[in-house]
Amino acid sequence: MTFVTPWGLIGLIAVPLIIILYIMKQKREKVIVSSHVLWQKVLRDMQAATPWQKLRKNLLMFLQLLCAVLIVLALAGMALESGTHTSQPVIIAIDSSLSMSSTDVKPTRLDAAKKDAQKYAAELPPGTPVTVVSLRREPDVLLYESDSDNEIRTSIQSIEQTKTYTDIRRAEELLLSLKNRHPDALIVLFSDMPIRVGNEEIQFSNYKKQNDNIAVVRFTHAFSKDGITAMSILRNQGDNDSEVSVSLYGDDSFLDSQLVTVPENGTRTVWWSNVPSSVKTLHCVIDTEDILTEDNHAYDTVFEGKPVKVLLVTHGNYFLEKIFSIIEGIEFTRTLPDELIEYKDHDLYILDGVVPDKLPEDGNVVIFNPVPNDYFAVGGWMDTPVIEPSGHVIFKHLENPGFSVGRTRIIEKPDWAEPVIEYNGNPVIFEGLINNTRLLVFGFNIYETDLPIRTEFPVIISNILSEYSPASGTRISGITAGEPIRFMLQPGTIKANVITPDGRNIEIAPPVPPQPFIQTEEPGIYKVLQDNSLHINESVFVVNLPDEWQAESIESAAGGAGGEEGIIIPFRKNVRLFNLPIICAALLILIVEWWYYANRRYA
Amino acid sequence: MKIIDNDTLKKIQRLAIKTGLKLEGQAAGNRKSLSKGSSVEFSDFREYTAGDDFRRIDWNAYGRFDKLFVKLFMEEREAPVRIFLDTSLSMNYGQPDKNTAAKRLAAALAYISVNTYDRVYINPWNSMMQGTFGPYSTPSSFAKAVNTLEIIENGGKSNFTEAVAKMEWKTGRGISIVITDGLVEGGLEEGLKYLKYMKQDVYLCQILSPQELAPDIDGALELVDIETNDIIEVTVSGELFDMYEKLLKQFLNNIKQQCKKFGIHYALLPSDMALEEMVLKVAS
Repeated sequence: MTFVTPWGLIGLIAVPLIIILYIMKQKREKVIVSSHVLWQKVLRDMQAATPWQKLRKNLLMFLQLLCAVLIVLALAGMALESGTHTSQPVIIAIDSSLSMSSTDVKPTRLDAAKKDAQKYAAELPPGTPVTVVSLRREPDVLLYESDSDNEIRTSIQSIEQTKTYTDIRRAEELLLSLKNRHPDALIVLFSDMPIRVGNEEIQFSNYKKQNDNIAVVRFTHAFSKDGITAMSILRNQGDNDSEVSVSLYGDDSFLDSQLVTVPENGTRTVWWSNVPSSVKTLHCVIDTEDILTEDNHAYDTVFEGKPVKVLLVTHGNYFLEKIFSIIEGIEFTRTLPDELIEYKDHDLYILDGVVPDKLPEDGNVVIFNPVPNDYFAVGGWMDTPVIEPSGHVIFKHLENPGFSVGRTRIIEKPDWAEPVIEYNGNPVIFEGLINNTRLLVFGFNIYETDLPIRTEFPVIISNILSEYSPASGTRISGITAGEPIRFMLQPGTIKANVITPDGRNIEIAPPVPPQPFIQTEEPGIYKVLQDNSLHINESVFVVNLPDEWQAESIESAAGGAGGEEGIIIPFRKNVRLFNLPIICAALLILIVEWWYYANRRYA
Repeated sequence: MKIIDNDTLKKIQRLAIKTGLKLEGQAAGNRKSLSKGSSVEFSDFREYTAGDDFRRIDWNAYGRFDKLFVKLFMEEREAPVRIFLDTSLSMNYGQPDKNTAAKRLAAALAYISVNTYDRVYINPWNSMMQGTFGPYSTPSSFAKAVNTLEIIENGGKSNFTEAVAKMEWKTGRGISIVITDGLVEGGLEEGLKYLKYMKQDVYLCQILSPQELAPDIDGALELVDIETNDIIEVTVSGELFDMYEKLLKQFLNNIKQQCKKFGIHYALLPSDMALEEMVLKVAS
């Protein structure tokens, strides 16, 4: 025996209320009798002087009590726990995103979900194929169609709490594909938010008991004449205004604290001024505890304001000279190839129509209109190549990355390079790494393109500066927990390590360039140590928790995998509901009560 | 309110209350008295003493025994009939109400009594005797008796023992008719015993309404005592009814047994019983 909606049992309070009403408020009809002589004897003999005795024969009250209890049982969804009658395949999807670590359900939402899922699986009829899916940033099938109790239990138990948000779109796609394999499969979702899966019906076991959580959802800074001004945005996801204490730390030292009120279901911006510009890291923390403490922290790094030194070597290129001269924050120098004695002391070298015999070692290189050289083979010309848009980083933030090229050099792609844009097997733009120096090569003269006159041109140049200035390799920002990082080590680096917030020392190089760094589960301040055999260069980056609420809201609002029509029904254990018989019984009792009331006789 | 009409009186004219008692008294009447006198019914002989009416000497006896004997005859005297009428508030109860039935019965019994030249007294009582009305000893005075009955008003509680004990009695035998519902404080036993002690031939007429004999009530009720206004809360059920019936039967049986024990004539009279039947039941 179980109850699908146990809160309905609150209605049982009606039972004592009815009894109290009958005792205290029983309306009695006054009947005049000639004498109490006999009645007193009768009552004495029946010992009918106590309230309970009076109630004993009160059929109406007992009918009402019975009726009330039946209605309450129907509300509470009284049901018999039993195995289902068919071995319908079951897909158990358990949300392990950050919000599932909330403690409004003890011990945490995820622990409760896992426990319920295991109990649910254990009660399935033997032989039921069970698929276990963990929903997180990258949803994963942990077990596929197994009927082994042990495997199912182990699989569910193995789901670990992540600090990422659930990628709803991918979750829907995965669940939909699993469902498509077995259209009769039952999807049971254990989560704190419903997910619609196509037009399919899913059972949803909700673990969001309440949402009194305040999170630091944005944390950034800006330089000012008085130092650094930092800004935190706090979001209150609860239904009540909340006063919280929020503190700011710089390089682990306490700097400031404020008491602020965050409106219900709203945000509050907190400003921190006069922060010393000497700090390298900032840490904002909400001191007041709530159901989810992990998102009470946010981190930020303060990069040194040292300008990027850019050297343009060209016989004359008005467009490149102009664009680099107007970009702020760089130290730009232009020179002729003949004037230059040695390629050094710059962060980024822009070579237009020239390739030196020896590439610079202290900075990365961008080459326009290459000439024959020792690093890659340059041949004749190819006319009007078609430039297909590319997702490369130099084209990010562009709505229309396409442009026209009159002709481009025929270049044999070297082994060390990867094409960014190619046409008929000929790399039009390519990049690579030689002796830890990054090269980006444009096979055409920008005078023979419409690129300089397009509005996208300054953005592409800015992207090149951000990506290829050596400092950018360590200026990593905007990383959320679980997100992989592709480190661009400084030229000359032979060994690199990352020290995580929990003290682990992870070697990332060699090889150079390093593999993407994926151990970013833990939010906090990470250190990157780059050793170029002469000295060790230390830099930091921070990892923050994703704004799960916003990420899931946006994806949910977008409709995910087109599941607007999906049906979400409350989770039902393997139970047989008795609502209809109970309601019928209650109606029958009401009819009996009415009949009794209509036929009772009064003197 | 006219409690009795001429048609009813005609029907009961021939009924008489038969009593085996010999009454004492001065006025001549239709009842045998212990006084030997000049009636026609022979009673005994005794020796002649000076002063005796020599007309009563039995000369035949003198011839046989050579002694003078005087014939003694049973002198017929009128019997004092006292009607004790319960006028407590409980008598107002019922449909038809017990009070009307009681007054009609009292009138009928009074009518029969005066027709046989008995002296009738009417004694209304509740917790005490409300007075003694009468005597009504001639058919012509019956109308006054009826008038008295009509003007008597009910009220108060009933206590028969107190009422009769504190009443002023004229010594002598007589007939006492107690008309009541029997639902009296302290019961009837002591009062009835007292009447017997006062040498009364007692008739107990217990009038109960049909609603008392078989209550027609149901559900959760407040039972209000018509005399005291006290309230008892009951939830009437079949079980309660059974218990009531059992106790009522026991209650009536007790009264009946007490009457039998003390040589009291007892009649249980439902208030909806026809008056003639009531009179017959009492007279028989």
